[in-house]
Amino acid sequence: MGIPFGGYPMSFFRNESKKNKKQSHDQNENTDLRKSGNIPLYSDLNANLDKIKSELGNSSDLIIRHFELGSFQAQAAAVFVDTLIDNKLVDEFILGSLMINTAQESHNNIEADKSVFDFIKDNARTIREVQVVTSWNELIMSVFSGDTVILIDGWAQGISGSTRGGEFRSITESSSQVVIRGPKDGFTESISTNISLVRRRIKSPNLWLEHMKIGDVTQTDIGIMYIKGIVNDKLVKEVKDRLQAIEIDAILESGYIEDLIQDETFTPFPTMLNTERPDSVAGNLLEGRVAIFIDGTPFVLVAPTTFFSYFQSVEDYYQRFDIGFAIRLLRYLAFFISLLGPSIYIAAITFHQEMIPTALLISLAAQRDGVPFPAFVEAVMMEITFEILREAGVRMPRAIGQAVSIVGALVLGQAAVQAGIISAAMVIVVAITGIASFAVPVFNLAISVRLLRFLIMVFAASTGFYGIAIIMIMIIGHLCSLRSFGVPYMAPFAPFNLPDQDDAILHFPLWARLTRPHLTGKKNNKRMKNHLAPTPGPEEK
Amino acid sequence: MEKARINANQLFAMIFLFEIGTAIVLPVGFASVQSVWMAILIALVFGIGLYLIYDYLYREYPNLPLSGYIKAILGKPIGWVVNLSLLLFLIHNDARVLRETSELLVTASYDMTPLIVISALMIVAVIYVLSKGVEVIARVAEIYFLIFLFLGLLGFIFILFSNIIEIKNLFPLLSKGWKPVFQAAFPRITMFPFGETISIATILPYLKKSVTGRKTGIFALIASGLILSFSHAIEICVLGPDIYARSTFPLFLMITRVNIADFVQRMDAFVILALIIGAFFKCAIHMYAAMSVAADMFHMEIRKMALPVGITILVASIMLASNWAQFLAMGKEVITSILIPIYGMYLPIFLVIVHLIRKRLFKKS
Repeated sequence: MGIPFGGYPMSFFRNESKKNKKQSHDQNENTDLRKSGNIPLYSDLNANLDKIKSELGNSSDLIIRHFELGSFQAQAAAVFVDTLIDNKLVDEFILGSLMINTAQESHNNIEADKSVFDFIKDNARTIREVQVVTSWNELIMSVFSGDTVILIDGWAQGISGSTRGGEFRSITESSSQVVIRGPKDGFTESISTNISLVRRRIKSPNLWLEHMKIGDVTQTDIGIMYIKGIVNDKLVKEVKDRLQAIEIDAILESGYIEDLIQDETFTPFPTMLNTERPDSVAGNLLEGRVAIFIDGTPFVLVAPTTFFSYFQSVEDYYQRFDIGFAIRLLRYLAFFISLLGPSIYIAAITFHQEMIPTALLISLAAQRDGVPFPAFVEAVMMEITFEILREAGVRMPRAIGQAVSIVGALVLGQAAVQAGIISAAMVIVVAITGIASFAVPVFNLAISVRLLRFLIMVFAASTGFYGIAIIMIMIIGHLCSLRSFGVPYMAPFAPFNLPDQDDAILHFPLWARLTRPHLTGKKNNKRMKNHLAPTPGPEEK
Repeated sequence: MEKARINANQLFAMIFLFEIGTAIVLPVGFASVQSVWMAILIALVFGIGLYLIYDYLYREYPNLPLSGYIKAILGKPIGWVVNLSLLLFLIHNDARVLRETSELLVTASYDMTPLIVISALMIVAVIYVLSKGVEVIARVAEIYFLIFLFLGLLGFIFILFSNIIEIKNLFPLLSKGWKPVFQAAFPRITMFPFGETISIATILPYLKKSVTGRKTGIFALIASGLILSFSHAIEICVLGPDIYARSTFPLFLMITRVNIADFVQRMDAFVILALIIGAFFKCAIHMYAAMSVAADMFHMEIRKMALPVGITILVASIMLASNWAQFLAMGKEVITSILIPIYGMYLPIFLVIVHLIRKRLFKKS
């Protein structure tokens, strides 16, 4: 994927910096149009069309269609980009409404002394949205948004009809967050589809959406969605301020936005949630969070989040509460295993042999008898191997997946033990750790665990459990110092908040979760009527 | 002063962990073995008294830390000198906490690891957390308070089900009368751990609502005093008075006796973890106090003092004594009977007196 670097001055090498200067100069020329773009259109049709062609470098997908407007005897042209429009709409707009209808109806209008421009504007019935463009800036923007612009000879104005369309992926099940029970629809790359998926779930006039464009070159559509009256207004303002402060050439994915507006860059922990599931976004909006939609990616950002929200899966809320609670506890356990698994093994085998039951210790010692490396080296080797396998598994073409799993399972697992390079116990530890890390429901957090695991292993190898305890204090200290849009990351535990305990590590039944989480304000936080706990009906006699 | 606010819960957790800190693992009050738990309760009363003095000063100067009102009460030149000696005391005391913990860890399970590695790791963690500010240490305390309670409860259940508590070890109570009990309670136990609460005085001004300071502090002291008293009583029950009096690390010895159905045993990690958590907070809060005084004296930002103060403490802890025996002898003679009484008791009382005199003079004129 081409990531544009051209605009940044890079001065590692002298030659390159010269080249870059030239490039950035070119870019300035391109953007000149937008900056001084408020110059009005010409009234001469051909002059306009020539300028459009030259500005867009005669791009081959720019289509200009000339036609004559019936009895007005006026020359007109439709300008659109072939790859961005819905063909059917354009055909209807230009052919149906302009070419044929004008021919029939124009007689009456000439008598009524109505101008050709107003006539088209008023009669473009087949199009949902019609706007008048007067400047080059507007013209170019609307052409590249997929609109069709009609220019008429003698008028320094154009009519832009919304004909956006083109090919999009249809709604499919989200591939990164799968549930067994729950809605199966996932977001797509089209922002309007994504917004509609959420709107269909929350049919409230209070569901507000604000729009902005970010990216000098890409002009990416960004939508900020929240529920007025539930969300804290300060939070919305903060999100908008941070988004407005962005000045960048391109936004290609939600990761760009996340990187630019998150509170802290130097942390392995995510402070914004990304999700592919509309029900998850709807749930978060109802708890007073803000969702940020980015055109071109199925991942929607949600803020603010806390550490504990990364352990909540939407399915917790769809299942019976006790099952959901048990599974959530299991996830925390899995998190700790994946974080500390190899470290605890290293610490126990290197420093605290007395803590291992004697029978097990003898068996472990026998296994490690021929192994030439200390436990730490063994663990690092196996962990790195596992990480490589996993990374290869994600990126490789599907067709060769089987080869990798055979090599991984047989060669690296069994054969390494038989060859006496590593002990069998270590393979078990690494395998459990690896599987446990898949049980963390949000992938963001699973990655940060992978990173931290190596750091903790170093501490465990140097001073055993003491090292683990010390690094855990530092990690918790780090977590406590984080904020996500003003919300302390470890809330509701630090600072402690009793009403919010209903859905952090614990998970209460729905009727007991009376209030929304206390995020940045205490406004309108009542979720439901009291005493909704089901009771058995009157006894039959 | 930083721009930070902590709430009553956080203050409670900090005082609790600070008091329990190393006191739960170390033997306190050697003089009266079987009655040590009573001595702790008596000392608790004195401890609350001391806390009321700190709280009174805090209420009189709600926006100033300890070093700030020392300057305000004694005047700038004298205040500066007092602050300097206070800073040295805090660094010295913290160095002792660090050395003590490291020595205990080395004796308990790290006999092959150099002392300085253990100390350095601890101080790195303290510097890291404190350089994030007082709000962060307060939040960390909140989380570790829950973990500490969980550990304590689990440990107690293990001991209970191992059937090793023998109440008869607590008797004869008051075998030598009340005198040794009071002697142990005052000054020894009153000074360690309760007299060290003077460090908390640098944290009080961050409190959101200053009125909650007194109540929260007293509750925290009572809670920690009761738990200390209880755990030492259990230690005596399990170990017997002789072993308890002779061991350097009685809690650790006790937990090694846990054995439930030959399956739950060797729970040493629990105690080591409790020791690390307690020592961390003791070390961190003392160091925060030192940082606060130093920052006030040299007009620096508090957070930026973490590294220099931390490294000073690390070096001091290594240079304090050449071995454990020398360290212990110095501790008994110098710390609990001279230094902590001076800074934890006489200095605050002196400040209150001067403050009252100045107030009266001021009113008259």
